[in-house]
Amino acid sequence: MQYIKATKKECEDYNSTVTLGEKYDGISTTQWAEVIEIEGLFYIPFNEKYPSELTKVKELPVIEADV
Amino acid sequence: MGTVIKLIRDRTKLGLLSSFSENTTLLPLLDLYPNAAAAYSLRKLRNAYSGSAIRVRRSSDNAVLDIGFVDNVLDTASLLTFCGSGDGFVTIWYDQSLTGNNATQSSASSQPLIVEGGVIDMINSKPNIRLIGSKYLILDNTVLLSSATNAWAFFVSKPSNVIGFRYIFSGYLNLSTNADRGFTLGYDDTKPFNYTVRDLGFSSITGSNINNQSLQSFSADRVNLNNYLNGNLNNSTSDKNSNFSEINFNYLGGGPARISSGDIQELTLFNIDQSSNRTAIESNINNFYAIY
Repeated sequence: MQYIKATKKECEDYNSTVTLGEKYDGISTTQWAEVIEIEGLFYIPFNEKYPSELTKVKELPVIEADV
Repeated sequence: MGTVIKLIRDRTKLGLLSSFSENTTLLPLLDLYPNAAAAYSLRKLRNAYSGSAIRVRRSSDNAVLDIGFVDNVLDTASLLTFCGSGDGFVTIWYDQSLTGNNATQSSASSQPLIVEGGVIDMINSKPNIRLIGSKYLILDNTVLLSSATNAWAFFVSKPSNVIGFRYIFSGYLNLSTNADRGFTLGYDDTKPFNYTVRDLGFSSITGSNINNQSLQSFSADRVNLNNYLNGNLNNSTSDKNSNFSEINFNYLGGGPARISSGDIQELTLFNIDQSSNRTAIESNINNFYAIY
């Protein structure tokens, strides 16, 4: 899955665009995706049905964590 | 004519006997070992449970449908009819315990897959929920397993061999910062599928067991962690200085901003010591999944 890397507002707007276009039931599915913040940068999964000129990355940065 | 009827009657009787015998070995797990803290499965775990197994969103028009059980297993016919030639995503995995603590995902992009291109995802001929990549489910309420009474988990999964940090399930005391690990099974390149509770941990699945379906049992008290793989003790550790009293469990998969790495078919959590029942519980699960 590709991700859009953009400002928080741009990610939120992209989510709104996909959510409105997909007409989810609004109960068990309420939106396309959560905006993901990793180390101060914002990402949202890219939906191929909704093109965007925003920067795309193939994967999210790996969080050096705590398994 | 009378002979034909008699034959049919005999076959029916044999069929009933055969069916009874099979059902004796496959009695629902929670009827034998009740009072689970949470229980998620694609088979029926409790006779009196009248709810569905999962709620599924189909890709063609985003409609949703609850999928239940037929003969105590997932109603795959209804699932396939609903999804058609498209994909099916799990929006709710219903908790079959008395707690009713469902695992849900309201963001479409994070919903795990169960049907792809009109084909049900299967492992060893049984339906499977694919918790890979950014997919995860959130428990409605954090399960607090008390380590004072010995917390137990039994689960069937297929851990994937991937690079970097990945999670099969996870829990944190502090969800806003993902700090203070609860019950977590994750993977990194140096610690393959490491169980952790707070700072206690050990590798559980290595070598040929990665990428293969397995049944794992896990127990934790304030001092000891034990892991059983396919019925045998696999690894354990202890730390007499550990002082955690509760073990948090929040996500099937990695949770937000984390990567998931495991197919899961069943997970049952207990807040009751199951040491004396472990072998029987594992047999019940393995009788259905035929893992080993």
